[in-house]
Formats: sequence, C-alpha cells, structure tokens
Amino acid sequence: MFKDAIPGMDKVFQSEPPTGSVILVVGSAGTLKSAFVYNMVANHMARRPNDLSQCVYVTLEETRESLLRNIQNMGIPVSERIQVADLASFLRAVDLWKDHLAQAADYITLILQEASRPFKIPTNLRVDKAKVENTASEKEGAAAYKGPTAMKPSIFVLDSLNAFNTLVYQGSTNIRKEMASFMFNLRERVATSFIVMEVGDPSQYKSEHFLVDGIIELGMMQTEHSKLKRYLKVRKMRSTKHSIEPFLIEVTGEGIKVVEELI
Amino acid sequence: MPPEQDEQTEKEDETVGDQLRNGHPVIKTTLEIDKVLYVKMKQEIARSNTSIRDFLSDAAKEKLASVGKARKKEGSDAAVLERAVKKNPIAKKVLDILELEVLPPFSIALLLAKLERFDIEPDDFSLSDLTEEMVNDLVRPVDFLSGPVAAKNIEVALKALRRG
Repeated sequence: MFKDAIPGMDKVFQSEPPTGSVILVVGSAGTLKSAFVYNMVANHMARRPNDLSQCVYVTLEETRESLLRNIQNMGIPVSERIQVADLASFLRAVDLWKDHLAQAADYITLILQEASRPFKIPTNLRVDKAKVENTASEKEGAAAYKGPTAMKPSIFVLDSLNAFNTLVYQGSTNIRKEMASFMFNLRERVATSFIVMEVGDPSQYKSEHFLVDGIIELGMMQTEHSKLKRYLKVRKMRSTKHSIEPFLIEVTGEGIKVVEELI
Repeated sequence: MPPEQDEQTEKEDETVGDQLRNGHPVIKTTLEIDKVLYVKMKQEIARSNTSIRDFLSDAAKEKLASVGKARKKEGSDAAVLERAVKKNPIAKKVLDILELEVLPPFSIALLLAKLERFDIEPDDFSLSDLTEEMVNDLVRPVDFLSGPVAAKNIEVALKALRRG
C-alpha cells in the first residue's frame, strides 16, 4: 500500500510490506505524522474504488473535527472510508467503565475491539443527503443513513501511542507485556496497522521497535542554507525492499509528496 | 505554634462547654493514642503552626470524607447500580439499544454516567426522563467513537422508545 499511496514513495519502497504489518510512525512535533498516515491511507483507498476496505483512525490527541480540519488545510482529501474514532472523548464520557469489568478482563483488547468495530460508511454519496437529514420519518432517515453492511476495518491507525499509554495503561504494572499483547491483537484483528508516536530522540522508541514490523521516521533537518526541511526515513520494514536514506517531503496543494533523496 | 500556646488552646477548649464552634456544638473528649504517633503529631503541629484540636478535627474530616467516598464508590459502582439498571425495564431497553453499537462495559458506564448527570436514580428511571437532551447526551459518545451512522441509529431507536 506504500508505493502508490504518496507521490514519490516508489523512490523509497521497492516492494510492499506484507499484510498484517504493524508500522510505527515516529517523529517530533510538527513533522506531519498524523497527516502523513491519513494521506497515505486516504490515497490508498481512493486508488481502489472497487475494493471495499475501510480504516479506523483512532485519535487521542485531538478531536475528530480538529484532525480533519488540519488534514483539509493541507489539501489532503477527507475519505468517507476512514472512520475517525475520537477515543479520548469517548473514554471521558464513560469515565467509570473499568468498574464494570470483570477483574481479569483484558481491557486493552476490549478497547481495541470497541475502537475497531465494523462500521457502515455514511451513504451521503449514494443517497440524497437531504432525505437523510430532513426526512419526516426518523425511521426512514435512519434506513437511508445505514448504507451497506458494516465492514470490519482492514487498516487501523492509533494516533498516538504516547496518549494511549497515558490514557489506557495508567496504573498498569506491566506496560511492556500489555504492549506486546496489544501489538499481537492488532495483527490478529486488522490487516495493517499504523501507530503514531511522538519522540524527541529516536533512542526513545527502543522499547517498541522490536515489537513492530516497521518504523518510519519523520523529521526536520537544517539545510546548508539554514532552511528547515522535512524528511522521511524508513528505519526498518520487515520483508520489504526499501531505501534507508532520508527523503525530502513537502506539502503541496494536494497533500504530501516525496520529493527526492536527501544527500 | 509553641507547645505552651497549644496547651493554652486546649485549656480554652475545656472551658468552651456547650458553646458553638463553626455553628456546631462542641464536645470534650479524652483519648489514648500511641506515644510515637503523638510525638510526630506534636512535631507536625509545631511545624504547621496549628493546634491539636484543629489538627485532629481536620484529620477526622479528611478520614470521614475518604471513607464516605470509598463507600459511595463501593456501593454505587458496578454491581449495585448495574443490577438496578438491569432491573428497571426502561433502563434495560436503553441499555439494549446502546449495546447495538457500544460494547457492554462501555454501554453500562455510559448510561450510568448520564443518569448521574441528570440526577436520576436507576430505579426511578422512566420514559419521561428520556428527554431530547438526554438522548443527545447518550448519542454524542457513540458518535465520538463509532461515527455518525452508528450515532444516528442509536438516536432513532432511543426516540422510537421515547414515543413508546
């Protein structure tokens, strides 16, 4: 899904990562981690109109509205096949949910299960939108809104692991073990997963790097003319042919593109 | 506060009798406590410039608050409230609707959070409590996580339940 998802990505990847890969996207603040992942998934789906695959994008650091606004401001098209799940707001609304769990319950799996439930695409493009919103009969409106059968997502995005750790693993005595179980569950449940993680220093993601199949680093570097440029670098991608050099990336009017290898 | 002043305060307390302090009658009591604890308490009282009476009163208030909170949590959460919700036929129907889109531990927590917000006891929950505002409040978290289609489905079902 990489080579044709972002213009110029074929310079970075010579083959595709296997289905079921868990890929960590790391970088400091402002390195376009969220936009890059959203852009890649949206383009991947847009290029396959007949493939009914769907994506759940779990946002924990910003609301759905804020994420989509930023995405649109960068010229990235919003995809109806990407369901943005605002997990932070949801968990705030169900504050005491852990009290209703059996003590031995694997709540990480449960959150993942809840966040990645099959969903129906809003059928705004297929039915008359006015009929849905202004219908005299609510039942009729809901029926029009239902759309096709709910689909299990084939791509899962968690944005970000830092926020997930704070929100979900709070009070956990064995984060490392639970994290490994979480990664395992991701591989079981969805075809490909992207985990966004903010790091100031690449050495900070030491604990996660062996758990994932791939690591894409996004960063900023200063050029000889003292200008800051954004780059993308694939640090690791199991069973995939790729370059390990950094590549210059830019935001164009139509989203992100890989420009050239940085020398 | 130096110990002499402390003793004076305690002495004054003895003469308070049935006068009011902070609007409450005052009672005199004698107690035996661990000497090490007493010494530590006196040191802290000297450090924080307070009196034995205020120190012990504050400690008792804090203890009562935490015990009350723990009891309320123990008694109100999970089992008790969950049973109350499931016994109430209307609450049970709302729960069944929520569970179309939200998994059980989250659905029960969501309903209980809203009942608490609207100050409704699970036993007393009736169709008239299922106002437009409450429906919106129940639907919004579904939209957060499962999107507008799921939220619309829940909204329609809850409104249908309200209409009977």
